[in-house]
Amino acid sequence: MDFKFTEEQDFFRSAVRDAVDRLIRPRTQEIDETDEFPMDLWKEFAELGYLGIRHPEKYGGLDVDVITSMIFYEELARGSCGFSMSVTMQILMGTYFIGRFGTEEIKQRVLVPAIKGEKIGTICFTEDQSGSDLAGTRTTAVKKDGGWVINGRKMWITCGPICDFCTVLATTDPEKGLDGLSFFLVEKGTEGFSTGQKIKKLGSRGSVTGELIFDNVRVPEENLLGEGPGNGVKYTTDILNEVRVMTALNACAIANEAMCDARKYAREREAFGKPIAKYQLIRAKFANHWARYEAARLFAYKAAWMIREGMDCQYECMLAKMLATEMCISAVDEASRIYGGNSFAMEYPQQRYFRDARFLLFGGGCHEVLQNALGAAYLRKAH
Amino acid sequence: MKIAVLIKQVPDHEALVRVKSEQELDIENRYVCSFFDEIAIEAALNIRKNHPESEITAISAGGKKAVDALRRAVALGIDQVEHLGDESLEMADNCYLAYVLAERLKAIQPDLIICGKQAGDDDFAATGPMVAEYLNIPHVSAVVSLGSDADANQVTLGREVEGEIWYLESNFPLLITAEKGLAEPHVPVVMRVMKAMRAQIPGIPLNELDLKDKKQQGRLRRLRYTVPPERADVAMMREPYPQNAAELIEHLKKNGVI
Repeated sequence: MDFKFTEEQDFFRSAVRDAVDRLIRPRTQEIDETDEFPMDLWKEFAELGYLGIRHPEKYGGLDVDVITSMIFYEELARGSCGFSMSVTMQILMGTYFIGRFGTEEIKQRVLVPAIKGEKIGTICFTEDQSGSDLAGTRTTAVKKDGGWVINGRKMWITCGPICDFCTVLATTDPEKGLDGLSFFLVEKGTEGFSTGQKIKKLGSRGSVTGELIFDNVRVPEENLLGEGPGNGVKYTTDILNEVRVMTALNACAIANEAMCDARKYAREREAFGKPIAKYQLIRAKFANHWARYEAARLFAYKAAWMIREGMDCQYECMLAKMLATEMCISAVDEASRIYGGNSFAMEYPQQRYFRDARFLLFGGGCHEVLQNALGAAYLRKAH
Repeated sequence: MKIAVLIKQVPDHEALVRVKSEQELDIENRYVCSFFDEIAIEAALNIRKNHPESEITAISAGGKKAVDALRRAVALGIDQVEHLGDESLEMADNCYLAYVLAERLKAIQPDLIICGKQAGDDDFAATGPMVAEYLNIPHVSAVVSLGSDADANQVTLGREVEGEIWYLESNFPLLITAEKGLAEPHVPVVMRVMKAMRAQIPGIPLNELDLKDKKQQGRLRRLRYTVPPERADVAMMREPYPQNAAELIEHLKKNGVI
């Protein structure tokens, strides 16, 4: 066994960290306060080439392995949760099915500009009545005149209000439930495709999120992404594994930022004549966090390694996501207690960590749904 | 034009440094290319923008950390890098390091050598000028502007001194040390980062350099590390002006200062 990152991975991390420190972190507060998508920063990151790290070189990408991409997501989340969500949406979910199933013509038209940051992409799973429950998807795609007609509304779509294209999950056969789902590419400008209102969010601000409306949207046959209709869920599992580990490492990054700030504060803040870091109850918070953080981060990278090795790791990825995001919720809570009343002031970052951490509970499957699946899987285990 | 950039890996400014014993520091394992050395790299790249035929070689002497500094140089855009020596140089004094670097530079024969103004760890600001002395070429430190005309064998330099800029002229070969303002280091594109990750960094062992029998720690010896004394308590005068003047006098009398 080997728990070390390679020298190359350490070097990659330091380069990403440098980019995040210099480009994003000076603007973290501004992005959070304005809740506006930082288009100039987006373009800078695109020019640096980071939007293509998971796609093949022939389309302008770098095709890095899963672990390297996870290092990138973890470092990125140190900068701004909102900006990180927009970037990961573009790299992972927003372009995944296009890169995997799109025709060459679609890849040239959509994927290449997406890697350059010229087009913004997103993926649409959630609806007003269904999120983690994909079988409840009501958006329909009906075959007509050699193409497909899509009708429905999608909610909570990251980058939805500003997207140039989206991958939409729709049912082609409502009777079949999960086995009737498929993905379709819909591009901005297609008749009947429109964006709804931007949602005002508690955290992850700066990743503009909203509703997308599909009203008799006609797309050609090649916009069905994947083999034949009805394979959507099978493909979803592939991408959800990466999404869940990415979310886990975002959680690790936010938890670490919150507790590192709290550590600095505890060393400086005095109460009853000595720094609060000298008190056992404060030290216990750091000790407990350290243990939980190391466990969650280690398990997240183990899950990433399992994905890279092509192992069956659906449940490990769920566990990684659950473990890390719950650890993060606990860390931001404890960090805010260390800050005391100052954690309630907008000028200190603790309130932002507190708000951002909540966001990570829901993406990639809410915990109540994951727990149900994990509990059932555990009960099926022989050992 | 041939340009050599001398660089060094130093602890990150946020890394924790603790005095472990009189002879040893405990440094958190977070190292980066020295701040002023990145400015030196960027200054060399700026010259190449105007003189595309320029050849840049980045050189670092020392152990494994030197390799990391050179990877950073590759990420920033320098293709030719050289790693001199080994871990034994980590404890060598600046004079010996300058001697090693100069011996290699004699073979490369660069027109211009650029170093950072000072290293981000020991702040010695000595290695660059020492290299110039070993090579018997002129040097200018703390350079903030640089205009070079390789064809005319001439370079114009700005040097910041006490808030003023001195403008100087020199011929090649020349060594300069880079001050903040000479260039603004860019964020490397990820394609270069990947190239740097995979780059084979060529090494030149000390026995391949024409080194005479010099002591690695001869002329400048590190005696001991000590922790600076803790700052005395601060006493705040609570009364508003002008009553606080009387309060201050009272305080100073009480503490035997006056």
